Amino acid sequence: MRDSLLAQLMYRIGPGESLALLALVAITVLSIIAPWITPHDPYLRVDSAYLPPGPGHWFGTDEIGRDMLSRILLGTTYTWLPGLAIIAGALIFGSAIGLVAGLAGGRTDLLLMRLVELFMVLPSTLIALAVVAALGNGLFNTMLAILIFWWPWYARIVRDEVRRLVSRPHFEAARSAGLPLARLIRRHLLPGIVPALLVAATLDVANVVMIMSLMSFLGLGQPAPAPELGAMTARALDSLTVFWWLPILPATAIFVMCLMSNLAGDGLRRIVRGA
Amino acid sequence: MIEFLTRRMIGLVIVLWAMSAIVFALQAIIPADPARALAGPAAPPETVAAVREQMGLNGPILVQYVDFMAGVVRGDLGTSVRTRQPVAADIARYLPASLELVAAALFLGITMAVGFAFVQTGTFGSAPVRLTMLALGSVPIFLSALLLIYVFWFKLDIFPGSGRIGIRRFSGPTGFMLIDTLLAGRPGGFLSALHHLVLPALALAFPVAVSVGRSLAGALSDRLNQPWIRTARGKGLSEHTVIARHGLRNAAGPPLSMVGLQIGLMFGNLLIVERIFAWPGLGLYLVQSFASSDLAAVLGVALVFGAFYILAVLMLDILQSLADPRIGL
Repeated sequence: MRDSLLAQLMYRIGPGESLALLALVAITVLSIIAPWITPHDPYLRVDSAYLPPGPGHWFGTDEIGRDMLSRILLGTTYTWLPGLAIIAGALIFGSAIGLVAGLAGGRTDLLLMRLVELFMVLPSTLIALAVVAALGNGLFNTMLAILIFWWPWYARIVRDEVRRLVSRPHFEAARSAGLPLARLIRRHLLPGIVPALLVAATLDVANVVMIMSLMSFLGLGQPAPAPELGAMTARALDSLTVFWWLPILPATAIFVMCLMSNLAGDGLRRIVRGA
Repeated sequence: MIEFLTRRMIGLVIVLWAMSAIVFALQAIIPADPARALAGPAAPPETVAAVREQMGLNGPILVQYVDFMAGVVRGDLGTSVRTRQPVAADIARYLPASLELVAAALFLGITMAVGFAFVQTGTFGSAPVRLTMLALGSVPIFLSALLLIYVFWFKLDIFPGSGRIGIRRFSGPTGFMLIDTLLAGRPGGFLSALHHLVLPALALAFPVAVSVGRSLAGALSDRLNQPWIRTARGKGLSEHTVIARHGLRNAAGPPLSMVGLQIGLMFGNLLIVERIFAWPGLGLYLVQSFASSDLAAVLGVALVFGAFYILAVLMLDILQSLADPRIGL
């Protein structure tokens, strides 16, 4: 009898992994409450321009005297929450396709998986960029463009896991007992699928954050004055040698988010593999 | 072999077609107005209407799509609204700079990856190595590019931080600076071009080196526990020969697939690196096309990049099968 995922996590987790998972939760909480805890108004001039990091403004001030700490805090909101939303959307859509393909088998499976493979061989970053360039800037368009190329990976994972599980005796027994489909999926498929999906999704947060910051760096994110981290770095490129904190600190914030997600994902993978 | 190549060429056409179809379909579904974007938000409605007519946006989307595809087949990618030049001519002009950069980055990246893997043999999977590689893999490309410029150009002044060559107005028949300077018999120009290539190529090579290195180290540490390696060691071969002759080739599969994945990711990074280093290639051209909503240019460059990507994957598949003859084509 398999333990629940939560129970597995509780007694298998190591200190490093739990710290990274904790950091993921912390970043999520921070990005939710950021608009209320910024020390200064991120959109307004609050001090002289180009103040270096120091007491009063821990991350310095930008070219028009806005507080960088406040802008970076709000910038994590603008990057992290849409990133999570993209992953959630891709998980839901991809899992649905994967479930249908895995359960139906035969020709449906073949057709859907060919479609999935087609999406997987396309150079995704490139097309996401082209899509946003074609549709115009905006949060919704960015999310849509990334989502289009993210679901196939989850569809494939779910489909493979479903194919593996339906041939197992426990599933055949449950199916021949005449259980309704919804219950079959919920009780006999999902518990086997969730671990693999969870690992992929956690590692993907870093990838999505990276792609979103890349798009915002190229001017394909939300329009100014939204404090997007990639755009903040791009606008301050020329200040690198004089006011290093303007381009470097927002980029470092992206690095921290990616690192935490990679650490947590790697930890989860080791737990799931060991299980 | 012939059958394999034919099959892959058909695949290439399908993938390119799918790329253009996706962008076109989304443009049709989502209400966005490229004519309005081009004319500017303050333009009067008559101007917008004229621009729309000129861009051929008045016909049904299917007609527009057929027009576009008919052009593509003839090698006509439309006219850029920004440079007022045929997109195909623009691409031909900027492509060599990008190819030169990507080739240098791949060379550096793979060399560094092999280095990483050698350093890690024996320690692979240990916590410090794992954490270091994870941390290196989490660095966004613009952060590493900026740090390279800051240290090696601004602080140490060893390498130039922008541009392609130190000579003004140099151009040659091929567009590849390293080849053109040699053809023109100017070794100084060659060295200058090489010198300018170092930092951008390093920035671009870094993600490749980290992920390919990690994948190679993993495969290598697995192969080195196999019985044939024990035999090779038992014959009295030196550890270097054991790894180079018996380990590397056997472990080449997973890292080669990783190279393919990384080439796909490299296109996004190429745009960033060319933008930061003011490298006059196709990536910079594409970035400028984004800024002016130049859809013909964006689609044209995307198709060319897509074709290169698929050709690269094809070559990697052939390499896979050369490294391990059990993998048929």
